[in-house]
Amino acid sequence: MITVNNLTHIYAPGTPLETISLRNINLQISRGEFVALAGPTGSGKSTLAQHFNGLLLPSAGCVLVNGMDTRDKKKRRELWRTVGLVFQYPEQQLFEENVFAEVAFGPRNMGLDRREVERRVRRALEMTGLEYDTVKSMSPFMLSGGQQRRVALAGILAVEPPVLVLDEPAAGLDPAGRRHLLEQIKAWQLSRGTTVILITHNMEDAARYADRMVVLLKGEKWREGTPRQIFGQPEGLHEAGLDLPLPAGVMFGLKEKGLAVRCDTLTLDEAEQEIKTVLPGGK
Amino acid sequence: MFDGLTIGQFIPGDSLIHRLDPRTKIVTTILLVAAVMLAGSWPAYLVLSILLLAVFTLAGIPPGMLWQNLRPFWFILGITFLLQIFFTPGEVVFTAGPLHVTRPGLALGGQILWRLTVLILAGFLLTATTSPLKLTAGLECLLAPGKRFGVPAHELAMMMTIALRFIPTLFSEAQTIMKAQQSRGADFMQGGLWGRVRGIVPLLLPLFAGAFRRAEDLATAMESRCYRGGAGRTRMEELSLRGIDFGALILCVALFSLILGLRWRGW
Repeated sequence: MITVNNLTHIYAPGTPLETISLRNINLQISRGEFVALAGPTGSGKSTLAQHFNGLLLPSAGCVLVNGMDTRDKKKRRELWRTVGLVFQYPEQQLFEENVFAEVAFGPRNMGLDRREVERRVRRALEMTGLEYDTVKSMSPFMLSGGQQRRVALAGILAVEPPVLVLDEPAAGLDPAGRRHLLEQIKAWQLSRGTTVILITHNMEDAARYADRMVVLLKGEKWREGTPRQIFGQPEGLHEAGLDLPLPAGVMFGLKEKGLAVRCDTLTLDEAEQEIKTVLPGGK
Repeated sequence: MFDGLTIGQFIPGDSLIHRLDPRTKIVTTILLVAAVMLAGSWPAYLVLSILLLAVFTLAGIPPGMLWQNLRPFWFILGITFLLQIFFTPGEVVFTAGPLHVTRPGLALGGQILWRLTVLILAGFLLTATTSPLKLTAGLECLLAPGKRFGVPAHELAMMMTIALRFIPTLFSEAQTIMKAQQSRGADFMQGGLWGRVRGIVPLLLPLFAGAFRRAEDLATAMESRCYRGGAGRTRMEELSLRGIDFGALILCVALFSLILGLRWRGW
């Protein structure tokens, strides 16, 4: 679905402010996959995300989406329909006078007819847990922060892109809201076969929802693998500025104390089982 | 659209020019601007151009950036130049259809083009080598004598600091919003005039909403730290004039007098 070849991105080239934000990234993402793009602040996650739909273009190398080169100007229109990008704090882009018009902005730009627009808006809003008939004529600015976030997410979902890129979609939400939002994204992925790229520095989220993880560090691809592979070798993660999810962290602590346990436990149940195996009597 | 760099960007450095007192730089810039307005002969143009380029070199600013800062103004520069060369009466040197290019027109157009270019570059030189904080400190200091006549020097300087502080923030926010709306299929470049005007709404509305939100947050943050204007405030870095400042001032005053003298002599 997405192929990234030797991607290098340089910010403000040829000036004293020049910085290399991505260096020689190679990446393959298949259809329907849920990939977590992790890394500490400043590692280039957001920069990489903006390459997927051609908002940023490679300084060297290339990005292919469904075989389309993002540098191809003629494919611009097709690209934004293929890759839906949800920015950080997307509620800050709201501008329409009511929620319906806000969510319908994308589908209308696609030139869909009225009934199809309405169908998509309804589905997108309900997918994010908002009551269509209650919110459709409300001003988005009257909603709470969490609800605004949902409206903004629905605005992208309504385009129904085959690839969904989300930049820290749960930042600033309370734990329940965070869980709820990510569950909905996971459900959307599973029900529609959408490819999801989730940008996060929250390792719990990556462990819970992702099929595969890509860890960036200082603009380079540092590690890649399933969450189990990544957290199974936790050495260096902490130095890279990343935390282990709680179940893996506990096991790693035990291992360092000299117990022969596995560290690739992703859930508390797994961790419990693993601890039982080393306890005398197996209880 | 805006490529990382903004007009009036501060370029950190440790050159002689960077280390000058901000007051010196503000006063010399004003003198330079006045000299540019007075200059009316080739020797004067030449002296001022060389001086400006020499100072840019001293400040260690790459020549490419001068061009980058002029680029946004090319339209205004071009239009003023064309208006002058076509619509000044005098001896015709070249005819293009109904339009006549005249000799005095060329001279006047060239002069205006040069003046505007130097003015833009002088402004850029000041902001490129002076951090916003120092710039406003210098301005406040220079305005301070006006306090007696009711000029709110501190408040003006504070407003300028805040405005300068938020230009890059608003720029990057505009950029983000633009990208976000493009991801939803917004098109800022196509359509007729009406289409473009309507196309800008998805950009401007969130930008204004964000600016108001920031203004409110900032006001709260300032009040919760008991900000109440300039009375009794101290500075972390006190301004002080040193030898090079006096040197630069004397040099500029001398140059200004020279240009004034030339002008008086009818040059």
